[in-house]
Amino acid sequence: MDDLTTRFEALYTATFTQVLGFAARRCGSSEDAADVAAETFAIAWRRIGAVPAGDDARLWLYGVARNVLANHRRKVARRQDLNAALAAELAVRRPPSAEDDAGAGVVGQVFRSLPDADREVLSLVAWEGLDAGEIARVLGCSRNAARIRLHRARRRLARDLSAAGVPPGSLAMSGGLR
Amino acid sequence: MIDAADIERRVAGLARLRDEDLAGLESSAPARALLDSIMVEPPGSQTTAPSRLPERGWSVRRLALAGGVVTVMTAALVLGPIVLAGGPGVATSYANSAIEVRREGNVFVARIKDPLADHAEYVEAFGAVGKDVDIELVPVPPALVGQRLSSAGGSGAVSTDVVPTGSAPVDCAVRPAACTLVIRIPAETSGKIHFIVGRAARPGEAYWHFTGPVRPPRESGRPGR
Repeated sequence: MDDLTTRFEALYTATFTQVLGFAARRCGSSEDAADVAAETFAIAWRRIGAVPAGDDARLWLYGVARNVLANHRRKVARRQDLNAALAAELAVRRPPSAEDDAGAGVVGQVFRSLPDADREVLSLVAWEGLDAGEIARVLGCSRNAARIRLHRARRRLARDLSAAGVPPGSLAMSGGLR
Repeated sequence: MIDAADIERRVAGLARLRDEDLAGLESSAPARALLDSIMVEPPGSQTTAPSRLPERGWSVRRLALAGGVVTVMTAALVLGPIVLAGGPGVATSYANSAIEVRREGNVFVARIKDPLADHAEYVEAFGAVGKDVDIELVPVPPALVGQRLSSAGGSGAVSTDVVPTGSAPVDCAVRPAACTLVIRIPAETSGKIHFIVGRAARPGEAYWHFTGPVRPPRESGRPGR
């Protein structure tokens, strides 16, 4: 019992900002993000016997958070989907500004228009810094399947960005990223 | 050609919040309170993969986190709304344990989570989204719950409404405690706004008395929904 307590406290402290960050980057509100993080850790405590050791624990938590998030979204989906659809309509009708042309706005729109599965793998790489093997553990698929999904998602995003007139390398030259 | 590294940089640029922005939160009071609230239950020893997720304890834990982490995160998020779920044009939202305020199109929608909270918490939430709104909730008979009893300032179509908190259909006029008060304020409204709105009275609590100049309750039923 004490061992489990010590282990869970260490896990919680080591991964709290990562799990909360994972949720925050994918939730529409900070309150939803807090909910998802809280429920993820509650599940980890209830299943502490299943949590793997080392850095695999973080990947396991991402996998749980992903399920919690999907569950959470289903509950609030109807209203928020309508809002998002409305917002997307507005975005389509709004003439692009000079700022959008500079890159970020268009990149965001193109990214959002990708299938969910594509956004998921691309964001796990870019936001959580995972490689194909780690993504496989989060998604519960084979490493090869993850690699193929990632490859296809990158290809689709590159194609759509080109189609949207985003020149290659413009963001890299503007600096300001890690 | 846009290569993989370029793709990664572009997608990374869409995440307005990074783990580093949250550094130190793990030892904050709300994070420790959450940890304590989780470990109140005995640890599980299940070794099966997560599949169906239990609902128990959800709202309690939300409260544990809501006071602090959410405030810190909101400060970070206001710098740049998250793109995945929020979508373009989502300006601001704010929540504390008493109220949630969210911009939905051209209106700010406020959902009262705790009608008995100090009204300073409501003021704080509206302040965070740039609105000077003070809402006073006063105990009234069930038929007046959700009605605006007094309003000063503001322009456009302000509305108040009570909707069932859960998914089950509830007659809010009969069971106001099972319902949430929702207030909608046009986003373009400026200046100071003050409302007095009816809430369900606690058992034995005296109803609020009309002591000042007030607008009579609307006769044509509750707007919105």
